[in-house]
Amino acid sequence: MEKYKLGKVIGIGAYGIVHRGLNLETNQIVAIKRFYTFDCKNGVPYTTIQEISMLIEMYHINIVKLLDVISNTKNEWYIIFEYLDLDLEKYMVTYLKDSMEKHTIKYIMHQILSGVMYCHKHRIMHRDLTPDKLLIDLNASVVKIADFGMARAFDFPLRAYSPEVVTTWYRAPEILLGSPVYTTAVDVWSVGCIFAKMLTRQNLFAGASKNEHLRKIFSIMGTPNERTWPGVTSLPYYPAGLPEYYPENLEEFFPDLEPAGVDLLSEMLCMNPARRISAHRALQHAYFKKKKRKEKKEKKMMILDPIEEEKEEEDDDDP
Amino acid sequence: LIHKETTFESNRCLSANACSTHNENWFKCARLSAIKWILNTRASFGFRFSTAILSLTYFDRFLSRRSIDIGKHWAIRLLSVACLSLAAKMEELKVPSLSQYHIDSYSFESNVILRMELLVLNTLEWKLDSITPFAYLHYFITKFCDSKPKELVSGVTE
Repeated sequence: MEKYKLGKVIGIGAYGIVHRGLNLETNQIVAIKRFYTFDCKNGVPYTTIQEISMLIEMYHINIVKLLDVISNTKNEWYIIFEYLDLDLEKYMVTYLKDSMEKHTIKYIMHQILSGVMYCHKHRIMHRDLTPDKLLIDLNASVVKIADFGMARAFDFPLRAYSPEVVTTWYRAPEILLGSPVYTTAVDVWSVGCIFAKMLTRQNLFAGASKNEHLRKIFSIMGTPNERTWPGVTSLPYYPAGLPEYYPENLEEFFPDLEPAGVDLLSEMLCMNPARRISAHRALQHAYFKKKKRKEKKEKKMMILDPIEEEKEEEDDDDP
Repeated sequence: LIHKETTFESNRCLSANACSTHNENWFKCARLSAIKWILNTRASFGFRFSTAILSLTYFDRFLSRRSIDIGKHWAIRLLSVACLSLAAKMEELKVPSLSQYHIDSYSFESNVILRMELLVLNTLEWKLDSITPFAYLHYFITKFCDSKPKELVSGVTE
């Protein structure tokens, strides 16, 4: 740890404290996650093992980089991450004040989906995507996915995973309904919710309890049935006696959003996970295709300046 | 992936050449007994077979980078425990506490196992998310035959 200087605390989690820090050799500002001493009974926590082993092999511009894992003889553990100014939650409050920044939202969405696609290609589900887990580098105008504490490597066929994972408001319906098996589609749903939040700065589905949340989703996306989602009625938490809601027209919720955007959002918020759009296909959606001259002029005035054109994925090894 | 695999393999070959035949014999026996212990423990905890295979890949990768002195059976056993515990943490939903691992003639304190876990993690550079053939098994079985994939899988894994 001589290489680093610990600064002020910037976050506290279940397994440790995150400090701002400084690499004394390079003068680079870093984030340092300091672990509580591991309890001897269970050894190194599985969450730590899973998070580090995943992140250590991920190299993508839209995923936060793990720089170092350091231990000392006193059984203290530190993970060094690259440091980023702020998260999307705070960014929305501070910078996305009016809904004029359509191009910025598109640009952010493209980056989130690129990061998510990279994870999915490397058979990793994040499972807990929320605006405060998306970090933003204002200088480079880059969005990075962080906090893989809930992430999990998956294999085929998909098997049962622990049910309660994603923060409720961004949680996919199949998890809320208690489906024992779920897929990368849960991340796409979360990104859809984040998209909606950026557009209106409000959560599209916000219920105080799980049931209220489900009802809220059904009331907008329509109550799922065996025809739209085979097997849904036999899921453990499928609520009995809920009204048969019909799907609402999403356009009405997002009057400022271009039609292609509404279409992409509805594909990402498809109730049936099997029919939900994949991150890979979402990136090829018409919403990301057109780039008008006018928007390019507009971008210069924005704080998150989308100068870079989207980077092409370089490796295509499928899992 | 292929690149990663080849770099690991080449490292392994180098250290294997360095070993003399006498050492090799001892390690072969030790490895065999480690496999036996891992498989037995897998069965008693009800772990998946893939967990046992994964722990064995950690075991081999560890020994390709560090050596254990000849005759130190306890070290081999401690390494097996740490590898199996780590593999379980990567693969299983329920993980036993360290004291639940029964190690026939040796008794290791939990904090000793913890230290070994950390040594393995450091030696493997925390790269535990290895792909084993199991990741592809189900896919190929469903491709190749339509009937009774379950029975076939258990046949293959054993």
